[in-house]
Amino acid sequence: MQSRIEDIRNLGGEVVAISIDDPQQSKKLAKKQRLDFSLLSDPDAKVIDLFGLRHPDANPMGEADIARPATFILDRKGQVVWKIIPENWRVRIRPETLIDQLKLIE
Amino acid sequence: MNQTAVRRKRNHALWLGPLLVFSGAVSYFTYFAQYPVLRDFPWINLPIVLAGLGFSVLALLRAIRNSDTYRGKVMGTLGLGFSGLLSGLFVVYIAYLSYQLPEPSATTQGLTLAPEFTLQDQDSQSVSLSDFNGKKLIITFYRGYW
Repeated sequence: MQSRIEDIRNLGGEVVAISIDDPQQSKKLAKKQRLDFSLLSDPDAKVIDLFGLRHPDANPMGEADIARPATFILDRKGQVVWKIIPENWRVRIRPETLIDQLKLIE
Repeated sequence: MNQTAVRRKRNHALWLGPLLVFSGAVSYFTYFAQYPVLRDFPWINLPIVLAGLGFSVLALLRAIRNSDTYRGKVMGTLGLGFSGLLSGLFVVYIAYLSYQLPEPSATTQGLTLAPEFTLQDQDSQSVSLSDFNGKKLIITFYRGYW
């Protein structure tokens, strides 16, 4: 998504990514992959639960439950206008798909 | 084939097999997964891994059937064990493990208005959904690195 972040912003869009990683871990990831959007830390999976995305017992370290991957697009009023819930965690959403969807929003 | 040349021929497939399987499997995660097309299906890595497995099978078959010509019964067995195990794990990961996700929940399916939240970003700054009012927002949930 970073590769098309300018296009996303030019369309009035922004990106946030949420996981159970703590801010230090997110910082490392942001630095390594040169991400300039927010990586939000949800260590207790509270927001992950609000979106119904908890994946129980998926964490081999056996501590906290992690999020199942999913991507949502909200319009300017916070309405969910599009979502994708992949059935395979290797498969990632293409930024082009997101940009096409952003273009459909007023 | 020339008999004299063949007699002392080294069984290169002995090491080539396990090496290909190892590099094919590891490089998927360390390198090729960053390219979406190669990540979604391991177009490069799966052929490398399977070729490695093939070389390991070949190495052991040679060692057994032409033991006069090729050395490597013991190494061939170990090599095929390694290649078989690792390529098996790789295929299981690609074709099975990575699909082990829960069904999309009713909460997720029924979401119409995104719930308000506040979380800390990578600089330990609080970020709320309402900060993005008036913008189109992409929210992506990822498994994380713990």
